[in-house]
Amino acid sequence: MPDYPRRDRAERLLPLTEPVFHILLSLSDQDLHGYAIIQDIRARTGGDVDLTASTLYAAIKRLLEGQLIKEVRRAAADDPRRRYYQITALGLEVARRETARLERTLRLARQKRLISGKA
Amino acid sequence: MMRIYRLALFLLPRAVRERHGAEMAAVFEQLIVEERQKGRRAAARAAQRELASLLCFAWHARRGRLPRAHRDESRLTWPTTAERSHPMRDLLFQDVRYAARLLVRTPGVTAACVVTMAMAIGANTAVFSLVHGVLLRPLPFPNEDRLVVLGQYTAGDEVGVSSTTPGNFFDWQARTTAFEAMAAFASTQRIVERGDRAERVLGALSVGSLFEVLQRTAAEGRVLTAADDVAGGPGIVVLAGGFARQWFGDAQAVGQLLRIGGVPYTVVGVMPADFAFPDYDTQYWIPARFDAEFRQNRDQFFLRGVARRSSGADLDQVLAQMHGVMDGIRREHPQATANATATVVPLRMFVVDDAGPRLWMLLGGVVLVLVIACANIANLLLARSTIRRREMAVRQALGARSTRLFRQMLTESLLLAAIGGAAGIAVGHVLLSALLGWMPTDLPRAEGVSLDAMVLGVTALVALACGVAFGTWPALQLSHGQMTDAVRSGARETGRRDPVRSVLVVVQVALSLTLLAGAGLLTRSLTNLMDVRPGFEPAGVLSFTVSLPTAVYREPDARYAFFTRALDRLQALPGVMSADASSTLPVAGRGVGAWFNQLDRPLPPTQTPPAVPYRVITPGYFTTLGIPVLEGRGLTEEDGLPGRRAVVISQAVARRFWPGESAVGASIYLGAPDNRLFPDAEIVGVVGDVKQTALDEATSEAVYIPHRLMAGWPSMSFVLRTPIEPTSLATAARTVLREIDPAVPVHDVRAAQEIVDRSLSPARSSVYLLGLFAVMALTLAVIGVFGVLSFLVAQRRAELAIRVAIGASSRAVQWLVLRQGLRQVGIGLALGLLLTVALARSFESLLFNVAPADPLTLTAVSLLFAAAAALAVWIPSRRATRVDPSAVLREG
Repeated sequence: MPDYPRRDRAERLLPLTEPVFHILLSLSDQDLHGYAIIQDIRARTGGDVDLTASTLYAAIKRLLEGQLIKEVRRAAADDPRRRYYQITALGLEVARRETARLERTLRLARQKRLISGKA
Repeated sequence: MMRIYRLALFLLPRAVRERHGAEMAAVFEQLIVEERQKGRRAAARAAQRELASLLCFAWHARRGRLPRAHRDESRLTWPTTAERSHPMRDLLFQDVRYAARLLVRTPGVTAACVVTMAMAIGANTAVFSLVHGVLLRPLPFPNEDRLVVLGQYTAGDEVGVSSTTPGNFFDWQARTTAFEAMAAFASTQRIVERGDRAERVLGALSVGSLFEVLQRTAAEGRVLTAADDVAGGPGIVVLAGGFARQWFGDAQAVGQLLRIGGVPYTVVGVMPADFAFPDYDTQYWIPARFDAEFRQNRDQFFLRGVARRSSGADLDQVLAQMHGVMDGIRREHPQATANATATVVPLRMFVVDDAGPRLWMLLGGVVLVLVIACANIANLLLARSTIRRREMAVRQALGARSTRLFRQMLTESLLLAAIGGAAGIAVGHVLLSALLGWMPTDLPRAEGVSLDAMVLGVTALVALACGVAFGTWPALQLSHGQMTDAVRSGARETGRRDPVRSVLVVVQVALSLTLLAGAGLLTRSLTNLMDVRPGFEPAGVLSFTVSLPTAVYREPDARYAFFTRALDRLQALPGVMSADASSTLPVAGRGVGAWFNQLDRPLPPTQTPPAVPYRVITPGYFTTLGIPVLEGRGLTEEDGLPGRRAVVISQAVARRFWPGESAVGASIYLGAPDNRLFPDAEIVGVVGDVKQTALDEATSEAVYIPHRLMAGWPSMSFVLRTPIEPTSLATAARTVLREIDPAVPVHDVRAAQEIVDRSLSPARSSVYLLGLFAVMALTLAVIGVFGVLSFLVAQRRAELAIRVAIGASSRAVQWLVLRQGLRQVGIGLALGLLLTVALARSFESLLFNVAPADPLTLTAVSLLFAAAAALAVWIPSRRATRVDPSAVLREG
C-alpha cells in the first residue's frame, strides 16, 4: 500500500459508507467483538442500521486491510472464536473527518431549510 | 440451520474463510439465538437474510470486488487486493459466466434442453443402477470371478444348471485338480422355532467347506468348516446377519438355541449383513452330514457344487477337466449317468439367473432414449446457432480466434449437460425407487441396488459425453462457418438448409420407431401369455402350504393322518365346496422329478431313464382344480390301497411315451430299479396338461400319484374351492390347522389366481418399462420433427412470402413444407423398421409366440408413429400458409 501522510490518506477514504462509519463509531470508545458491534449499532440507531454478519465482516476485512482498526487480545475465558477489534489512530482520524464532512453537509441542508435547526 | 450456514461459508475464498469464517459462524449463531426468542418465523427470516448476504459477500469477494452495498469501502484499500490471480481459471470462469448468461437469456431453449436431458439421464441412471446392482456389481466374495457353480445336464431334461447327486459330487471333489477348493450346497425349507415363534424359513445345507470356498468369515462367532460336516455331531447353525437380528434382537445370538425342523441347533456364528449365498433369501446354513451310504447315492438330484478355480485354470480348462472326470463316472455308473454332462457356470451368472436379457434390453431401451434426446437437443442448439451466426461472425471479425469461439460454444453445451445431468440424477433417484417397486419380486440381488458412487460417476461421464455429442457440431459449424457471408447477409437469415438437421430427425424417427416396435412386440408377448390357459381353473381357489417337521412326524402314517384330518376339517368349513392337496402347486415350480420306467419297455442298464416331474395328490384334486380327465378315470379313495396301485399321467407324458396309442392300462414305476418311489403302478387315466413352472413352458409333463401310495410326503399344498372371495377363507383355514397342531406353520397363503398372475410379472414389468421409454422416445421424436419443421418455416418465411406474392396457392405452400417433413419421417420409419428386425433377434428369448419381425406389430406401430408424426408436420405446414407476404416483404 502506498504510504501517504495520514492526513491525506484519511481524506482519500471519504466519504464512508454507513456500516463502516457506524463500526468506527462503535469502536471509538471501546474494544468490541463482532456480535457486540452489531448490537451496539442496533441500539444506538434504534434498529435503523442492522448489519448482517457478512456485511459486518466484509467491512471489517477492508478496515483491517486499510489499518483503520486492529485486532486485540482479550480475556482467555471468553468464547475462543471471538476476536476483539480496536480503532487505530488512522481510524479515529477518518471517523473525525467523516463527522466533520457530515456536519458540513448538514449545515448546507439547513441553510436550504430542508430541515430545521441552527445553520 | 447452523450446518447450512457453515456449508455456505465454503463459498467464500479460502483466505477470507480462514480469517473470518469461525467468527462469522459465531455471530450468526448468536443472532439466530436472539431472533428465536421472538419466534421461529423471525429466526427463519433472519437466517434467510444472513444467507443471502453471505452469498452476496462470497460472489463479490471471489470477483475481487465488493458488493454494491460496500462498494465505497474499496477506497479504503486502494489499490484493491484481488483474491484470485489465475489467468486460465479466469478465462474458464468468463466462458462459464458468458454461457450461463446466454442460457438465461434464452429460457425456452434452455428449459427444453434441461428437461429433455433430465428425463433421459434420469431414466438411464435408474436403469443403469439396476444393471450395475444386479449384473455388474461383484458378489461379496474375494476374487469372486473365480467362483463357479457345478451341476449336470441330462440330455432330454430341462436346460441350465441342474443339480447333481451326492455320489457324483464326491467323485468330482476327489478327481479334479483345477480347483483350489470345492464344496456343495442345497436349499432347504425347514420350520425354525424359538419359544412360541415358529416359521418356515429357507436355508441351505453346506456340504464340506462351503465358507472356505467362498472365503468369508463370520461377523460373530465362526463359520462352518469341513470338520463340522461329519455325521453324528451336535446340531450347529450359522445365521444370516438380518435373520439373527430378527430372532434375537440386539442380544448375542451365538450360543443360543434354535429348533430347526424339530431338531435343536446351537448358533455358532452370524454372517455379516452383506453375505448372501446362494441368494438373499437364504437365512441359515447347517452342515449336511450325509452318512456313508448316502454319499454314494446317484439318483437323488438336489446338490449343486460350488468351487474356486485355481488361479492358473480358466473356465475352458476347468470344463475340459470336469468332462474328463464325468466320462470316468459314466463308465462306472452307466445307468445313473449315461446321458449326463457336467456344467460349469460362473457363480455370478448362476445368481443372476435369467434376469440378464431383460435388464440389458431395458438398458438398450434407455440408451436409445438418450441418443434421441441428444439428437433433439443438438437440433435445438443448431436452430439457435443459426440465429447466432451473425454474432459469431462479428466476434470473429473483431479478432476472436475460431478455437476461442469453439471453446465458448462447447462450454455452453457442457454447462447445459451439467445442469441436465444434475437434474437427471434427481429424476433417476425418484425413478429408481419406482422401478424397484415395479420389478418382479424375484429379481435377484435387488436388495443391493442403489444409486452409488459408481453409478453417479458413470452418469457424470455420460452427461459430459452428451454435452460433447450435442454441442460439437453446432460449435464447429459456428466457429468455422463462412462468417463473412453471414456478416454480409445482414440481419436477415439466408434460407440455407442444413443436411445435418434432417439426418438428426431421421435418426430420431428411426430409433424411436425401434423402441416403439420393441414395446409393441413385448406387449403382444404379454397378451399371448395372458391368453395361455394354465390347464386348470385358478379363479375361486385358495391355496396354502403346510410342511410337517419331520423330526416330530417321523412315521408316514402320522403324516398321512395329519393331512387327512386337516382335509376333513377344511372340507367342513362353511363356504368350502371342496378341499384337496398336492405336493406341488401348478405354475409354482417344477417340483420334484424321478426316472420314468415303463414295465413293458425296459431300458438296457447302460441307459438313463428320462426324468419326469411327479405330484402326490389327494383323490379329488382334479375336480377341485378343474383339470379335465381326458381318458380313463381320475383317482379314487381306494387307489393306493394294497393291491390297488394306480397313477394318472398328463397328456404330455402319454404323448411322449405312448405316441399314437393308449397309455391307460400300462404299468410304470418311478425311480431307480433298486430305489423305487413305490412298486409298480397301473396308469388308470390321462388328464389335461397343467402348466408347472411358467405359462410359457413348452411341455407340461406330470405323473400324479395318490397320496395313499406315498403317505410319507411331509409337505402338502392345500387347494380350497369356494364360491366366495378365496382369501376370505384364509383365517378360518389357519385356525383349523392351529387347532390340529399349533407348532405346524401355514405359509404361502394366497389365491391360486395370484400364483398365475405372479408368473406374468417379469413380462408385465418389461412391457410397462419399455412402453414408458417408448412413449418418451415417441414424444421426443415428435417434438424433434415439429421443432425442425417450425424452424424451417420461420427461416423460409421470405421465400414462402414471395411464393404467395407471385400467386402460389396456400395448398401448394403447405404441400411444400409437408413434403419435406414427410420425407424425413418416411426415411426414418423405413430405417427404423430395418433396425427393429435386426435388433429383435437379440431379445427373441423374451418373446412368446411372436416372431421378432411380426408384421402385425410392425405395421401397427408404424401407423401409430406416422399418425403422431403427421400431426407434428401438419401444424408447421399450416403456419406456412398464414405467411402474410406484405408484412414479411416490408420487413426486408
